[in-house]
Amino acid sequence: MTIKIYGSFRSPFSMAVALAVYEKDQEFDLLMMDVKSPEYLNNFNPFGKIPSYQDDDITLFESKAIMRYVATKFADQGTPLLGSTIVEQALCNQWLEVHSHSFIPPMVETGLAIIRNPQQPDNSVLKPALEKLSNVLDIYEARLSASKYLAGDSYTLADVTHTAFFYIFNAITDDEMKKTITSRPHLHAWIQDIISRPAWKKLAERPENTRYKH
Amino acid sequence: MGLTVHGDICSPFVKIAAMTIYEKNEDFELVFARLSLLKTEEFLAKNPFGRMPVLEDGDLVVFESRAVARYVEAKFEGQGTPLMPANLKEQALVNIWAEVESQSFCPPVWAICSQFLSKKVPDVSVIEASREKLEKVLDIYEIQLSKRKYLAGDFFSLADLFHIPLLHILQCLSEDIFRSVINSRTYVHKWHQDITNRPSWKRIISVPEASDWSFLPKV
Repeated sequence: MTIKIYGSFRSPFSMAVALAVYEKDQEFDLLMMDVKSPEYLNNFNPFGKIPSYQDDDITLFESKAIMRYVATKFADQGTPLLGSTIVEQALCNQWLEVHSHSFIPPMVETGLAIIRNPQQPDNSVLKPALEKLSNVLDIYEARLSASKYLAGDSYTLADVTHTAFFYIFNAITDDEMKKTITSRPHLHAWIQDIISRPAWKKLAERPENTRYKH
Repeated sequence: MGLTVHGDICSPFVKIAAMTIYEKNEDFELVFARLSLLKTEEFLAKNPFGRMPVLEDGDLVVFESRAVARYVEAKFEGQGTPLMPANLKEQALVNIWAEVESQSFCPPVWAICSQFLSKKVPDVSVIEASREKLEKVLDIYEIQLSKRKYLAGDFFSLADLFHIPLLHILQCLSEDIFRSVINSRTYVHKWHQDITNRPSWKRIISVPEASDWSFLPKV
């Protein structure tokens, strides 16, 4: 059975899972189901969210759990994604948590403020969200000035989980807001690196990925 | 040189680190840090996000409690309680429910607790909205726990452990809300009784400081 990902390329969480699958040299079908349907809730994700994942052996939900499974199941194939030492593994896990708790809230708040009203975003929401995001990105800048990737010398799931978010941010922001990234040279260089990867390019060029093409 | 944990044992997140270390039959030195101490240059050099816990093990510095727990489990694999199964599928289930804790359980619980911890007058509408979310989440837990003893299967794991300190602080701050969301659900209640009966947990809450948040400023 080809891997099935239930999700959407409008969602950076679905894209993170898809990227992990491609990094491990696997293929997948992207499918959609009504997430509120009994079939989805009972068989895929009782919380009614995307993405979900299915292969011959298992059905899973929660993007980070899926990524960890893919990285481990296909450990011998494609790019190693879990870090090559116990230290890198620890830092990979640390930055996965940072992504969940410190990065996502201001990034999603910023993104939604823009997407809801692209021509004239509500500044009373956008401005504070962008400020919070900038403070977090200062920390990323400091980290990436000391380290090639988030966990250390190795590219890991910690980087994989961020790529789609920055890709979307770049697609929806004007020149002024893009400075949030470009004014931070190490952050900018790291993003350029992770979006240059063949696995990401392959994902970005999939036909379903039409929404953010620019 | 052993493990050092920077933080305050009253923090549910520090408790995650502490409980994991105890479950592996290890110990640690607690270096006290609270409030303004988290904003010092020295602390920010360890965790630029200015939050506890921070684990130090030799040259390694790790923050984010769930990452600390995963590191401790990996380092002391083979001793104490196995908190992460070796089997790939079982591992995946642990990781799913660890993420559910992080994404769906913790936010509404913490939103409720924050009202009691930091507001002179807790905002009832915030509490109610969070409680409604929490109830929906716990309905799903009730179904899961009716099928197996622990969240990922019939074995205790990190997924269960991550929930214990937040359940504890919720119970301490509002016995009413706790009873109505936990005790009202047969399997969730049974699971809670079981996981809080562990010696590692009892050791943590045996000290009064573990349950004292009175020092926090209220606005």
